Amino acid sequence: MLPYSAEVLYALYGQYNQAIWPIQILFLVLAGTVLALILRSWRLSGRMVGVILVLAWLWAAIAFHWQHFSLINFSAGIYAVLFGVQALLIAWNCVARGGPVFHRHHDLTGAVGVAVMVCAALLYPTLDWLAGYSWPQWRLFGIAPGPTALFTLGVMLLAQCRARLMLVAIPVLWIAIETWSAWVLGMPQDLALAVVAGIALLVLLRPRRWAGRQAED
Amino acid sequence: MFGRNFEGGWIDMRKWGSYGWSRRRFLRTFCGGWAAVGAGLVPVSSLAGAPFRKVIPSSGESLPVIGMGTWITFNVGPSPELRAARTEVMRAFLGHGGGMVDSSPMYGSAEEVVGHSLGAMGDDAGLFSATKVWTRSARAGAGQMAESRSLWGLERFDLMQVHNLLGWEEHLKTIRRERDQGRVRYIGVTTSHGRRHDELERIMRNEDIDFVQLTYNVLDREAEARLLPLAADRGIAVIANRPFRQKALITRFEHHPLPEWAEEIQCKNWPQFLLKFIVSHPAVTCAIPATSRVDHMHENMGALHGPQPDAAVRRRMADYVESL
Repeated sequence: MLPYSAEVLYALYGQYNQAIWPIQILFLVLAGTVLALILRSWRLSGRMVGVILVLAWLWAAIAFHWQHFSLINFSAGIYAVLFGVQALLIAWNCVARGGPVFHRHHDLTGAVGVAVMVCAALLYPTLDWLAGYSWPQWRLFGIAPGPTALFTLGVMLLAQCRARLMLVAIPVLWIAIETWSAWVLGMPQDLALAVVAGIALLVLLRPRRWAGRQAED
Repeated sequence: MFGRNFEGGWIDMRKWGSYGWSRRRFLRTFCGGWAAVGAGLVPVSSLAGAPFRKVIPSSGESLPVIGMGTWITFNVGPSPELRAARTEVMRAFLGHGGGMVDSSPMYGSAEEVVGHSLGAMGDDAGLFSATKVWTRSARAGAGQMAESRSLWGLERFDLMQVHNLLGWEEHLKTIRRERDQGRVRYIGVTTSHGRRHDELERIMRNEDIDFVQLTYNVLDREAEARLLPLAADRGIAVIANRPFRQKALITRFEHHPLPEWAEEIQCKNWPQFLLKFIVSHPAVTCAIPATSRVDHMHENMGALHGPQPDAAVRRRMADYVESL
């Protein structure tokens, strides 16, 4: 049971996007930058990706959950804390202790990881548009929690990092929360995103033996 | 000096305080309660065209039997378009002779939007303002009530309720102080979904309250067994929430025809059928359906008019929906 309807949620996104414009462009550029950094695998790619993800999670925590979502949802304060914790985890594991290493993956893992990141950046607003919502009601990476969580899941698929499973726990939890909310609110477009996240999770958690065979192919 | 209590036992009249009953309360309940029972069977106003009203037992004041809830429907945040739309819903409600508007701090921006609507209309004639205190902290209760007054744009609430019985022991004390200071007229408690009925019953038996709010509709009739008779006995007004189970009942029944005899009680659609079932119960004072649409508000308010079902028709109504 949620205290708002889908109509109200999208109206809130509309108000929010108008209030923070043109930050959305910055985050879209940053999403492209993350993809480029991962594919290029430079020495500092890991740390730079970490900084960008920290920014995105902090922005979603403060600007979205704390300042806007709290107007219609009394749980938003808890979500702001959750997103703040994720920002801290990324800051510690991907910036302070040295960034994750990204190797080019010419396999299933690489393909799925890139696809998930692209879905997060482009599929979310596309599905919102197909559902009948126009700009400024679209949900975008960095400024909306769902695309940010899904994008992070995609990044972690491509990262070699000891804390990888810890760093996907909160994104997966948030995607589960959004999937449940989408079911309650009658937003079928979000179920496609849940499928994408589910595939990413399966690839992430598949047995090493299978992963090793994939790498040999 | 001894007398009889309503259960027929002997009581020491000097010790009424131990039953939670003062002399003032007894007189108010005895006179107001019997007036309420009488009013429930013979409504204050049931003339054709005149809105159906019932009496608040503790005071004798009358209230239209169809109110308006604001859960989800008025939680629209800052959107000017949605706020304007809700203002029209409020305008239609009060224009049809509606009275009670029920909200809560738990409902997100609903209180603020109610206040916006009332301010935009500039005329709240007929409004019966009802909200709730919703915090575990006893100390924060008064502050939350003050914030609600500010959001609604009111100096005083007609009814302040303890939401879902959260911290009721301390909050009832706070609300009584608010009443003594003229910031609240009536005191109540709420539950929903059939939860915590045992605790609600204890409160109704032992506390001096004017209203209870609970879930009651054509399928959720658990309250008929004990709580509604107890409310009538104790002279407590009853607000029925979830009259449509949040649209689920309308969605479930709307593809079925109304029974032919629904015309006899002037029910033209399912919302009116479902609402008249609720508000025709002698112990129910009003129901609070929520809607975000003006056309649905017109439908709901139709239940204020025309003949009200008696016990036999109510039985037929329940049997009919259970057969679907």
